[in-house]
Amino acid sequence: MLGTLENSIRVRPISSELSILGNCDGSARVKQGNSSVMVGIWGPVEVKQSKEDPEKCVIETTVKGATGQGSPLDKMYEEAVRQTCEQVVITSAHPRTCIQVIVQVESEDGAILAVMKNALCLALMDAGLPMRSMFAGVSCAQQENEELMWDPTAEEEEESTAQYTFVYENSRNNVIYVHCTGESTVEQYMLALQKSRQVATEVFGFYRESFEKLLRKDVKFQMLLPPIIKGEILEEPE
Amino acid sequence: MSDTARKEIPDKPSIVVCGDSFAIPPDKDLTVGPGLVFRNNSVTCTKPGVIKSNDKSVWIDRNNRRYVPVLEERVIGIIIGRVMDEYRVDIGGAHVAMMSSIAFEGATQRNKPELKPGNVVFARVIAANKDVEPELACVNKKGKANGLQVLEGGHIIQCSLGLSRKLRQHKSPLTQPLFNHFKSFELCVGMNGRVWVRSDTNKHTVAISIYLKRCEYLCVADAVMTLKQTVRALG
Repeated sequence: MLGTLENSIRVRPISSELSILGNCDGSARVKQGNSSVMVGIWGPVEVKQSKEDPEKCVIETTVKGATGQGSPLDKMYEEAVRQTCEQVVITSAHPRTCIQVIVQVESEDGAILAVMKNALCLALMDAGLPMRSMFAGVSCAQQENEELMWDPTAEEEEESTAQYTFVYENSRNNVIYVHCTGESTVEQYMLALQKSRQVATEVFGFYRESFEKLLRKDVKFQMLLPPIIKGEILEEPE
Repeated sequence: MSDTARKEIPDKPSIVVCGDSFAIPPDKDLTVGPGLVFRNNSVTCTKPGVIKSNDKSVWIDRNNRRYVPVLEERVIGIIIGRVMDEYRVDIGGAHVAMMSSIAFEGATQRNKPELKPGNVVFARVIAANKDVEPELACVNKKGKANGLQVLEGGHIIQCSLGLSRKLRQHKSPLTQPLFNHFKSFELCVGMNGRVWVRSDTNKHTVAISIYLKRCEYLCVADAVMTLKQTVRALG
């Protein structure tokens, strides 16, 4: 996996588990190196009357850090997760309902926002919610010698002068979310934006592989069905 | 438009993910089913799953856990209350469904079944719209019960929507093995992922429930093997 990238781009191995939580409608865990995030989704479910929207479904997000203590950063992540969800999920398909998203950071070692977005995308797809496209988060850090480093660890992030997180979608290859910290020039930003797209394409391939593994059983079942002989199925007498 | 838009819909069932699009010849008359959106002479997938098509239609088959009511589907509901002449029924969806208290065969304002919270009904969805609450009835269009009824006794298990669809298939490979092991049993499968089981003895009911729950994760051959073991263990 992730083998067709340019030589200058190195990312950590990515792995995923789907449908891991029994009570959720959709769930996923994504690990990139030592960063690990689990996402659970309930929805569409009933919503409190005060929050109800007659036009679209409401998305409620909760982000829990690895330490378990709440922090202002978690609130920022919550907003980031909600914004991405609202852009991608077709919210008009289930009006007057609510989608609850819970993001649990299990271990944090750099590129956490990108890992969060990847886990979120897999969980949303696992829940079978209607989506316009998939999306993939890519983190990259700019070092002091102006070289870019993709999927940085916590240590590398600390040494860098600027960090970027881009989220791409796959239907038109657009950027749908950007988060930057640190100092950089426009040229450096544009370079990071262009090159990160390659990583996103690889991640989309990885999503497809994950779902192929999950759904293989359903395709096999199709082969077991007896052939339908015309006239054999009795229509329900109305 | 990206390269993927020029692909044709595959003949065999194959796996797709969100954002994949397939071209449809402009002269072809197709019904676009669940999981797909029609746009610019092509269909775009909105959920991952197995794409299936025939001459008339194309749709995505995907095993979900949350039920979204669809017109004319048969569901198993649990009564949770009563408002005037209507019952409030839980069908596992986002909203509580309503059922008229006289929506039973032969029921009149004076002579109608009295249901209490906790009673289970096998009913038909007669109104399903995303903007209003779903509505149920225990009669078909001609006012006959036709299998729709209040389910008494038995045991309900919750499974995924995909499994309940598989069980409802004609001559499903999942239900056929049950006929070899049990002389008499009743099975009622709702499209909302609820399965109601009743048999002569509690042992048989338990054995069938365990088997159905295992079908969720095992392939057919393995599940049948565990069915034999369960029957032997329970005696």
